[in-house]
Formats: sequence, C-alpha cells, structure tokens
Amino acid sequence: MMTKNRKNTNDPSIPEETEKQQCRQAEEPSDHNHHHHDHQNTFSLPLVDVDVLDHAVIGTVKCRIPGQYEEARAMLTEAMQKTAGDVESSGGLIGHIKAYVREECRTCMISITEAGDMQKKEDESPSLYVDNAAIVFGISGTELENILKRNFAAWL
Amino acid sequence: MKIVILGGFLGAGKTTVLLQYARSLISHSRQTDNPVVILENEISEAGVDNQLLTRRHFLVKNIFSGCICCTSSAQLEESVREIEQNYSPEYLLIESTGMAYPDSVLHTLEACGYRNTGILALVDCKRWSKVKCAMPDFVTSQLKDASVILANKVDLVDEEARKAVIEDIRRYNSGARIFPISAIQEQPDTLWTQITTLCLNRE
Repeated sequence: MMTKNRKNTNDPSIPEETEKQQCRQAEEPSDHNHHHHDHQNTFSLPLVDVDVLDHAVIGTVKCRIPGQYEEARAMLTEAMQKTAGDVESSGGLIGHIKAYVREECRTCMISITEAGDMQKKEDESPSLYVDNAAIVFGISGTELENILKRNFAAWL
Repeated sequence: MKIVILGGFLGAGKTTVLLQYARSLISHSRQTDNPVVILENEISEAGVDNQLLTRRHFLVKNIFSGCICCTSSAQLEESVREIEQNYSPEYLLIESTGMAYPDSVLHTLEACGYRNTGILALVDCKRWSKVKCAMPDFVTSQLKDASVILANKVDLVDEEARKAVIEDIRRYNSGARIFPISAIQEQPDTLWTQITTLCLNRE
C-alpha cells in the first residue's frame, strides 16, 4: 500500500512525512492504490494544503491577488516560475505546476427591506482568484509547503 | 456509449488535446443533445482542468475524491452509469489524472460491460527521457494498452529527438498507432476521426 500523508498548514498536529528522498527515481509501488482525499466545498482564502500520494507531493494554493488582471497575472506567473525553480534546485522533479485564475472586477450587494425600497452597494476592487496546483516528486511535503509559502507569501 | 480514456503523465497535454478532440466529436455527432460528456478526475484540490473545460461550455462531470484507477474505481463505475442514464451521450471522454494507470480504468469499464472503449495516451516528447527514467513502471502502464499514442510537443524537440522518442515508444507498445503532434496547434479534423476509429475498434 502506498503511504498517504497530508499536511494542512492550519493543523500543526498532523505529522510531517518521512525524510527527503535521496534518489531522483521515484519507485512506483507495486500495489498501486491512491488515497482518498476529501475536497472541501467551502474554504476561506488563502489556503495552502499539501498532500502526499505515493511518491507524489501535491500542493494546493488558493488565494486572491489584488490588482489589475495583467499585473496580477504577471505576478502569479513569476511566483509559479520561482516555485518550479525552487523545486528543481531542491532536487525535485516537477510533475505539473498549473493554475486556473479568474478575474473579479465589480461586485454589487443588493438589499431590499421593503417593497419599492432597494439599496445597492457597488464595489470595484479588481483582483484575481487563483487555484494553483503543484504536483512534484523527490522532495518532502514540508519542502514543497515552504516553497509555496515563500513564493506566494504576498497573498497568504 | 463510446468511451475514450485519455492517459498520460502529468503535463503531457491531455487537457489541451481534450479541448480539440471534444470539439471535433461534437461537430461530427449525429446526436444534438449531449453528444459528448467529459469525466474529469483531478489529483489536486485546485481543480484546474474542470474549471477550464466548464468555462468553455463542455458538459463536465468530476471525480475529485481519489484516483479512478484504484481507490475510486467503484465511483468511476457509478459516475459512468449515472452519465449514461442522465445524458445518454454518444461519447464519454475520461481524462484520468496524470498519476493514473489507464489500463486499470479500461479493465474496470470492461468488467462493467462497457466494451466500446479505448485508450488514447499522450507522451511529452520534450520530457520523455526524464519521465521514463524517473517512473519506468508508470510509463509502461500508461502506454501498454493504448490504441493510439500521441507523441506531443514535437515542436519543442528536433527531428532526431522526435524519431528517437517514437522509436522508444514502440518498445512499450508495438501495436499502437503513434502520431507526432503539437497539440497547441489546431490539428486536422481527420486526425481526430482516425483516433476515434482506432480507439473504438480494437480487436
């Protein structure tokens, strides 16, 4: 059976995984059996979460980057590039680092307390909402967590 | 319901291929309602691929809770049956996680009676040597039962490297048809038609 370990940065009681792999070759277990992990339907931003599955270390970052789309996207790209560089310089192999971003520019709260009476509260605060996944091999969950926290620090 | 399983290591280009392939299947389908349903299985909580596909108006169903080739094989069966009952699509495209063994997915589906099923596997030509050395068993399992293998990202390697990768892939699966492609470019529709025929008419 494969080893499963999960490190949620909000829960320090969860143990960290075993020591860093010394070998670059990730030996696949003969009994391939991935774990079941629960996906949260609700969460508060920001979120950094690290899962260990077989020899894969899976990091998730969900955060909000304030600013105009182009500028925020450029900052995110830089953070992801730095993450990739840090994983490789730590001796890890990148499986895939990817993100889905969506822009939110204008919001409005509409409030009615009596028929015919309505209040609107408009808000313009452009920002990007980021779902970032980093799936890597050959480094520990703690190492990946530190890399993600360092490179996404501005939005955590 | 015809089922094509997309397999391949992380970052091989499965989602990029899926976007083009699904569009082609939709354009050729005789079915107007739900010609194609995509079943996504993602390894990360971030759920990047399903957001992209949904945003592009594909009908996407998700299995997040585990990998469909092992712990969630029961959920795979349940999801496939649910899709068949609720949408009756002509095609179901299953995008497995980059950590999955598509041969296991195929065997699960066949055991459930789904015979019109095949594997379309992808290989990242640029990272072939690196991935093959790091995860040899993985690569074997991902390629061995594929009907079609797309040697993707040929635009990122030279001619010599491309030939070497394709030759190497044949050692893992001599029976599969191998097409070198660059999936970021629009591929001819005839390619997708050919892939469908090859995947769904296995001996």
